[in-house]
Amino acid sequence: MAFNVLVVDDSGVMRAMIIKTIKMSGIELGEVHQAANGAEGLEFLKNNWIDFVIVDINMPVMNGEEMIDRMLEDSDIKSTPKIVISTEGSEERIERLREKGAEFIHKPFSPETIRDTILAITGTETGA
Amino acid sequence: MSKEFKAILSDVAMETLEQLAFIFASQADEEDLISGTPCIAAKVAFEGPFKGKLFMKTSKQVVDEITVNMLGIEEEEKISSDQRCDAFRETINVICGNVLPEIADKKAVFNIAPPEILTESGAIESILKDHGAPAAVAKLDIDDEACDLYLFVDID
Repeated sequence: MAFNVLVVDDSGVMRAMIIKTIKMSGIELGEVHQAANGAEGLEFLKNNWIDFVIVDINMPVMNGEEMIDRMLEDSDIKSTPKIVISTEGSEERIERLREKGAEFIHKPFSPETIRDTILAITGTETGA
Repeated sequence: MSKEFKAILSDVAMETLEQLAFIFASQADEEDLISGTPCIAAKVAFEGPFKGKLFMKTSKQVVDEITVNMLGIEEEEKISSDQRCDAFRETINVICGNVLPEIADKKAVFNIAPPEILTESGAIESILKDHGAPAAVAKLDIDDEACDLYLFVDID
């Protein structure tokens, strides 16, 4: 199964690295879309369907947590699986994101962590 | 300067460089390594239970290697200045994000400001002087190139 994904991070290098690492992990990707902040990500989601979204937290214009909050308010996209990839170290903030339905991956990350998280959040039992 | 802070800063920086960019660093001797190429410096500020700044300075050669490895491109491919700065900002951001839970309570909430490239000449000595004594300095050796990190903590 090939996944369509939206990667939201203000760093172009980090977006490229996340996409490269997903491919390295053995996960098959279909359409790969990118956005530089939460507002751009939400705009994209209005008109496009994806299998899961990967979101950074600290971004200009709209941060990742606000993007997730807005997604939860929109019945069309509130159930889209969400993965937060961030340097965030506060257990309190990580727990708050999990309560909003997002899985959390800490930077730096391994291909195995990304693969296992994607498979878990999409309900896929085996990888490609 | 806290030896514990220094060890944390060194260990986190080495682990981050290895996991993020497949760069293997070791602790350098007390004497500074002299980089053969121009240096780049960056800083990131943070606020939480205490506030402070982290500075990082290394050679352009090391930053190019970080960039190439993060992007997963061939070394022969040309790197833009934007990509180099982006990769370096992300590197110091990840180091800072991983250092803070180690020197503070893991439940502590910090806000990390967007990292900034200070200078592509690497001349940050006068900037560092303005901040007083650092809480920790980590000096790393990356293939005989210097990589210095300075952590300043302001506990009121």
